[in-house]
Amino acid sequence: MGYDAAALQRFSLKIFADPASAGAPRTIIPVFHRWIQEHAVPGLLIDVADYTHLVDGPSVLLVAHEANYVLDETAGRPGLSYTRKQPLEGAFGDRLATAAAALIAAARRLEQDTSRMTGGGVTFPGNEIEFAANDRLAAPRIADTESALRNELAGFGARLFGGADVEVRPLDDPARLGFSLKTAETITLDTLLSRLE
Amino acid sequence: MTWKEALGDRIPAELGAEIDTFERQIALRRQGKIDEKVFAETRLRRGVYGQRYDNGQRNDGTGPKTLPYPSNGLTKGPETVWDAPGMQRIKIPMGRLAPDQMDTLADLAEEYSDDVCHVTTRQDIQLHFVHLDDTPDLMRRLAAVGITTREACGNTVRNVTACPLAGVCRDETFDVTPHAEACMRFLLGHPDAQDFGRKFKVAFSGCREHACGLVSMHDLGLIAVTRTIDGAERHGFETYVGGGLGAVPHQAKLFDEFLPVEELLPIAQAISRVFARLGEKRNRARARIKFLVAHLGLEEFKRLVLEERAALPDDPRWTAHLTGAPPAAEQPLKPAAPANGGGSNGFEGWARTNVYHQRQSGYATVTVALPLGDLTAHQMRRLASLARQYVGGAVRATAEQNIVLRWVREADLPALHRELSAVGLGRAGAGTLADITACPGTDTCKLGIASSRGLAAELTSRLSERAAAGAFDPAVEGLRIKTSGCFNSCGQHHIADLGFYGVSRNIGGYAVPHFQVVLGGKWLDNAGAYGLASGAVPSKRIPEVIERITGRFVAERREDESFQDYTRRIGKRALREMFADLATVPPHDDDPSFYSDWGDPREFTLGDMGVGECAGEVVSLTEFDLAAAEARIFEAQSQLEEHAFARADELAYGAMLLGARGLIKTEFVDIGDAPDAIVQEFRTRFFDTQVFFDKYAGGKFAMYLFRRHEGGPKLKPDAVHHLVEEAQLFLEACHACQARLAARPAAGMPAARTPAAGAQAAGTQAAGTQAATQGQGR
Repeated sequence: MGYDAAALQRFSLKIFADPASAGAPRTIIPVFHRWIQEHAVPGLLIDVADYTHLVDGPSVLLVAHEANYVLDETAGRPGLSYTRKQPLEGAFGDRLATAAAALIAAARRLEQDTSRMTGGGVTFPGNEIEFAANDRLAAPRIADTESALRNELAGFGARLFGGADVEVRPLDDPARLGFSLKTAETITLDTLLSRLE
Repeated sequence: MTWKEALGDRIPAELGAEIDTFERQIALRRQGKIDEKVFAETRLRRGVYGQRYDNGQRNDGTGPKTLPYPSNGLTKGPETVWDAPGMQRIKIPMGRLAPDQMDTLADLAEEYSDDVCHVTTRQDIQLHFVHLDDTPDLMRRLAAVGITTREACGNTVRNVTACPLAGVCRDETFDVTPHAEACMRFLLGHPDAQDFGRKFKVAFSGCREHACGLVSMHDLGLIAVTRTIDGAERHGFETYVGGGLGAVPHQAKLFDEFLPVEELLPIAQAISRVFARLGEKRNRARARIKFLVAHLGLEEFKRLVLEERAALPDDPRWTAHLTGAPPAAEQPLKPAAPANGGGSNGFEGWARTNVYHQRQSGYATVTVALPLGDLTAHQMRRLASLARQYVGGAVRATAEQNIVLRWVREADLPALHRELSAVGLGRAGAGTLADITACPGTDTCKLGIASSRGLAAELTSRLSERAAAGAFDPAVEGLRIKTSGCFNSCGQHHIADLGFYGVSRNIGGYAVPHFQVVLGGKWLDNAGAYGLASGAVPSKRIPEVIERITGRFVAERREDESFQDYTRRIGKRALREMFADLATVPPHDDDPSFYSDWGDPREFTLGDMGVGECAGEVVSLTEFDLAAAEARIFEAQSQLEEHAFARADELAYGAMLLGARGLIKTEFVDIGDAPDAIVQEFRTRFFDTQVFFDKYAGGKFAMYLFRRHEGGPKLKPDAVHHLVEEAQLFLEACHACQARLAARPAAGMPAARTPAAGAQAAGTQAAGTQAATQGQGR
């Protein structure tokens, strides 16, 4: 098996929330239901799945046909994930940008929709995003694929973070191929989005 | 590169061929070449199940809305849209899991599902939100680690369950594991277990007293017993039949006080035959074997089974597991070592509720208590790693939706607890009031009325702290709470001390989620008694019900009185009165929270319920064979295109044999696989009688089969090309013949088990059962 960027369609991106801003995950359940009513984010939005009883993983899912939007608590770090399930058009970099744009737009919407909540809303500092491959056939965690994917993601990180220094670090979880992309300065979600257009 | 290529011979040949066939059937359904009902039962038999909203409709809280799946009208079953996500049930016989299997389950949950593995009340694992098109690869990856999803759903023998302590239990008569394993292997795909009107569930228990096997609620339940015969101790089973929960719960009836282990498989086969032949097929609500046993009476049912047993031809598989070297018993990874202290925060409470000291001195079985039976992919993978580190792989899923690690040496308990806690798996309270069982309910089930998981999550949240602190009164600590989303009892509410199942009530023009309270069921004694329905209470008031009834029980119980005895003593009227004030619902404007369910802010509605798939589709053996023949001819065409002529010839010939066999099964279900017998029976029953004849072409299409059968393969490209075309025409003629047969007035006679001519085929029907069959009129 070898890395095949052209074939890698299943992957997830996670943008981290400021832990101090993240309220009880259950408060997001009605927000996601409202998103379905209002078609607030791209995709055929199907249902909300409540996994708030779990720790260290998905907490609340907005299930869509194309991708899931996930309030995620993996490794105790709250954030919003976008897990792509259906194929996207274009080269790998284009697909990455499309998915990232969907994720960041959803994060921005979540900031807005939770801002009126008691105790304030969730905020995303915008300086860290995590990529994980979800296809062990196209992208197993071996040295070759890790190296190839690192290069792709370094380029994507440079674009997203506007040329700032980006730390590209492999995921701690040895079972998954992925990288964390991190820069020092916080960046607004609007700015991140503008760089993906 | 595909998964099929990547895994290569790591996929056992037989499983690989089955999955290839399923993949072809998916392709054929896409082309409209398989009827949606046949395809639905086909996928159900591979564990591919529908989910809520897969009819393309959902109430989003403002009203019913269409979900515009990009399916272009394609369906994967009646009212089931192709692109709608579904559930994959994965059979884990006896709940036995190995670490590499757990790693694979974690990978599949991440790649095809929602990152969560769910343990079911039948020791299965389920993945939700799976796309149909992903299922063949998912199955291949499971097959590569020795797991099949075959017959996980549909009208089949479901996962064979057994006590998760089998082999390490202090009280068991003997380890039932090898017998359960043999039973599972024998019945999986067995021809006599393919024509049921409903599902068939088998369970094994090592003793009578404990709950682990839940024998009394099974279609076939077996309890390990011994008997001294001619001075020697013999192993056998106290055997029960006709139990089941559902809307009409039945306690299983004693079929045999001592069924010698040698007779287990033949009797299971004979029971299967009687159920397939006489069980209800049209009325799904009365098609489980419990209704057949009740209808015939136990004695007549038993007589028919024994008659069938007497007529069964010997099968070496019946005793293969009993002869030769005994199967390797589970071995500990490390030498025994007693506990020596050192537990971290919470260890004592956890050890009190989650640790079972095995009969093997120095070892313990640890229960990993899973909230609602869920664990994340990361947790599953971590648990696999801990299993390797501490027990070498002895892991089982339980009917209480937990996972146990067996053979933990006691000295390792503190370290294991620390490591489990580090990934959120060190929760105390296993087997207590806070360890709640729940079916999927309205979260994902099409039949769900109320949110069983939402209620269970709320109760877990309220009760867990007390469980960890050991703060429950001893009289109530070990009581069980079980919740179902509807009366079908997938959450096993009937056998809980405190059971709840979802119902709806109309209040002031609004639907309000309620739970029917079922009290006093008996989890112990292998599900020894079913509870009493004691009135419906609004969903949001169920926590108060639990507080009240447990409080009253503690205050009012007589010395050593059990909860079951208490509820029976005070009676149904008093129980209803106890909750009468809780049954009221405030007006919608005063408190709208009553009008939505736990964990779901939408106003409650029954409008999202769909057509359930628990009952599967009744699809005849003929339809299955014709569908399989279609898949085979499809593959023959592919092979022809790739110039693999020998393989194409073989597949085309095989497709004709399958088509012919399907027709024969309308009259003679035991035809078997032998080509000579198929051709002979087909000639006698359908050609000589002209039943197969086309109005214009006469017997021409049958000659295609006869010619290939008698003339053997001709592998020149043109000849193979012709054969593939002829096979296609032959199959068309089989379909036409089947349609003519279906249009004939019903004869009221089930398919016979005797060949039309020649030697007796394997498995002839017991003498005399024809009469019983005719008299049955089912």
